[in-house]
Amino acid sequence: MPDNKKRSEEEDIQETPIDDAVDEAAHDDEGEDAEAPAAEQRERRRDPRDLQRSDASRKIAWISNGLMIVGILLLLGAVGVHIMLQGTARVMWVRIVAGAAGGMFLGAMAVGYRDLIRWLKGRATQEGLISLAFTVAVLAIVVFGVYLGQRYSEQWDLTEDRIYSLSEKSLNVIEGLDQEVQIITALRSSSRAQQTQTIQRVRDLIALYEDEGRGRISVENLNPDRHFEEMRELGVDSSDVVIVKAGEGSGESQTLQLFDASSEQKITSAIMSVSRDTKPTVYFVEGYGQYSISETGDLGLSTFKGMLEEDLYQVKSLNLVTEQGEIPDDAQVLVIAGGNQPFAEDHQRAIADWVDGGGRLLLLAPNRVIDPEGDAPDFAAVLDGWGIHVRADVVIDPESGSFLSYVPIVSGSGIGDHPITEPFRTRSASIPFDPMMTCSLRVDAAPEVPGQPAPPGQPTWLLRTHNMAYGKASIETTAAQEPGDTPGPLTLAACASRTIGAAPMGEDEGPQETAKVVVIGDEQFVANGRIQLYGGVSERTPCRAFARNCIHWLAESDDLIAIPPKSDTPETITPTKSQMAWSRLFTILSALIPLVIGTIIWFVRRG
Amino acid sequence: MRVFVIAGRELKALFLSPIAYIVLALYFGIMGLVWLIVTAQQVQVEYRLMAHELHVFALFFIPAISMRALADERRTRTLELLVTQPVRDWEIVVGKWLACMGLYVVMLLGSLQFWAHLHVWSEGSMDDLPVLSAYLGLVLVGMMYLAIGTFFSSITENQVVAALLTFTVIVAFYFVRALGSVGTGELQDILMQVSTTYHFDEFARGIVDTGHIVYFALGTFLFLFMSVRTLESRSWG
Repeated sequence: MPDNKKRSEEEDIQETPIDDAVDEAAHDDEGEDAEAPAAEQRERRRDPRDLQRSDASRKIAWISNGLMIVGILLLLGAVGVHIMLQGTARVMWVRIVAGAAGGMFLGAMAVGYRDLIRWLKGRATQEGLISLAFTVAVLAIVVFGVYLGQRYSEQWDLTEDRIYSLSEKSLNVIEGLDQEVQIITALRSSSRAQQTQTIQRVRDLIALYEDEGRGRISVENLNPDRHFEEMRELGVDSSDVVIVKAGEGSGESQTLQLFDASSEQKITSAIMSVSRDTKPTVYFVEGYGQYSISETGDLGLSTFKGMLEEDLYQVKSLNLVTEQGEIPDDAQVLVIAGGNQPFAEDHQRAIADWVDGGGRLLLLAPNRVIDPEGDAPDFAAVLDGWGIHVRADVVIDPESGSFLSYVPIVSGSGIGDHPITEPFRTRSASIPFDPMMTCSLRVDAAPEVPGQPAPPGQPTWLLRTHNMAYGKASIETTAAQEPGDTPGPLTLAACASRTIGAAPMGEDEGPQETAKVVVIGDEQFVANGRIQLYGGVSERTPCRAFARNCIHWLAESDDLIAIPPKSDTPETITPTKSQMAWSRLFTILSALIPLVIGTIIWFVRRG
Repeated sequence: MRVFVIAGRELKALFLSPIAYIVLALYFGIMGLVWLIVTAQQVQVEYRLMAHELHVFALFFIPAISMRALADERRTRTLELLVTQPVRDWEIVVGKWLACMGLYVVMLLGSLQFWAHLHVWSEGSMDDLPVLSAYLGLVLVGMMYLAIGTFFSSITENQVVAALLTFTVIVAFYFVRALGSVGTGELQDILMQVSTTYHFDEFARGIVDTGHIVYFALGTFLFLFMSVRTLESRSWG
């Protein structure tokens, strides 16, 4: 025992103040009561040399801690700045600072390694480190779980019009792809809110295509600040574009600017364009005062031509006079937009024969009432046998409620049940017509059976006015309704189709074709000025979508029909005074009731 | 389940004290004021109308709800008493968090009156289904924010400090997406994924995405786990 005591005293003398501190820490674990007398005994035994050592150790500890704190701060700052300035010339400075921070950190560890080791041996430290490691592991699992959750997510669009989902027709296009299509985005972050919103919309839309087109559509995101080589190979010299590219075989590609890329219609069109070999041809008849596709003024059709080309059609003009009534073999759709001269009889006959033989015609009928010369054709010979007749009148709509009075507007129950109008039947769309140029159509159809589509071959109305509209045979004296005017509802657009080459009963079927006709009682329905007035560049205009759908139905590009114009802009209402009063009452009550209950409970518990 | 016993007792204590009623009155009062301002003239018949406002208000009210969860137990030294009962640490944490959720859900249910007004005013033409997704988003974001609040309540006995720390962190989660504009593409993507607004906005638009549900669920789990570890740390000496 004496030997042990002696050895213990020697050890005490040799112990540094840091050892004392560690001992104290160790005794902390055992409890304060046991520790106090031992600490007092050791304090009594300390000699002056120990106190000097204690001061030195404290200084070392301060230096070590200071170095470590400065080093950690520098390291964190360097990492933060490195992330922020990635790809710029200042990275070298960041690395130098990070290196200095690392040096300080190591220096701190070298100076205070004994403290560090003892600190690491402490029970609380070990428990804390285990807990920290456990927490870091859980954090890693959480991050990985979030990544997996995003990667393999399922999505449901609860909006009534499914405005955040791809339309059925886009899905059909994706489904029908026979080669892989690649969508490459080169989008740069922007500090402008509107630009950021559009970029986000494009990303969301592309993500939908990627999601729906697994195995058929692949998406690659290029960073315009880094992937210079790839962008040069694609022939792209600006950012914020989306490139739609066919598989390795054809290599065809289409580049969409940011605004266009935010439109489902444009992306689907681009996918179809690069993945299909043949393009239907649409001819616009000229020669008798029709509106021209090369004209860029208000009365030209250049905008509509551009729209059709975006939809993969080849658009050409056909001058019946110079071509001597010859309709090209590659014509799939013929468009006659108005006219102020009567057609030569053989030219009318050529068009009628071509349609009867399986051709497709879109007729934008001219108004014969307001034609100053009175030479506008009635196309009776062309439409003979189709059950659609163009009336010589001007449609007046006194109840349109539009900012332009008398603009015939078709909406709600005035939209017929047909594939062309299908997208507009599910939402509150309205399609405006010209206030002075619109004429009505007479459709020879059997009485409608509610809920049942028209039988095949029978003409069908597509758009018609409400009951208050009327058709005036003359507007020279007054625009008001007079006896003899055609009462509403008035048909403004109609269509008919007929199967050609159907074999008689009992005989083998030969090749069949379908002849189709669409007539719209407004010759300027797709003129540049009209599209700009009612549609501008927006895709969400029913006017444009309706005209497009007519061509798609005629050309049997059914997979392009019914990409409905989607809008996430809600309707606006103004609450009545009574509604506002009730709203105020409920709002005040909802705040007062908890206060009253709270006060009662407080009083009850206090009592 | 002892979790529900703790949650029930905590909720009962909340509603037997004036605190819950003061919070509710303030919440409905301020939300009502915003509603009256928004609908003073024309109003858009939109399910998203109040969803973002409710999210912003959650930033301010959730720290007030969660600050006393564990901090109060620490301050009054009743936490030691609680842990001597036959309950596990996670049961205490989850029970406290559930009680906070209870009060938060009461607040959300009260706010449904605004949609009821809109529904009546629009004579049924409003798109109602996305309201469900907006509320699902509000519940999920509330779950995560309350878990953050429970965590900070577990590390301090000062309720004000707990509330301030909670507010700072949830505001950071709310605004972190905006920081992305100063970084590059990858950084922007990471910040977007971390941000609660990015995940919540989808719900507010009427989209229910399992990826976002996973984010909020795991975020909630992480902070509740950290709260449990903090509670356990008292036994380390």
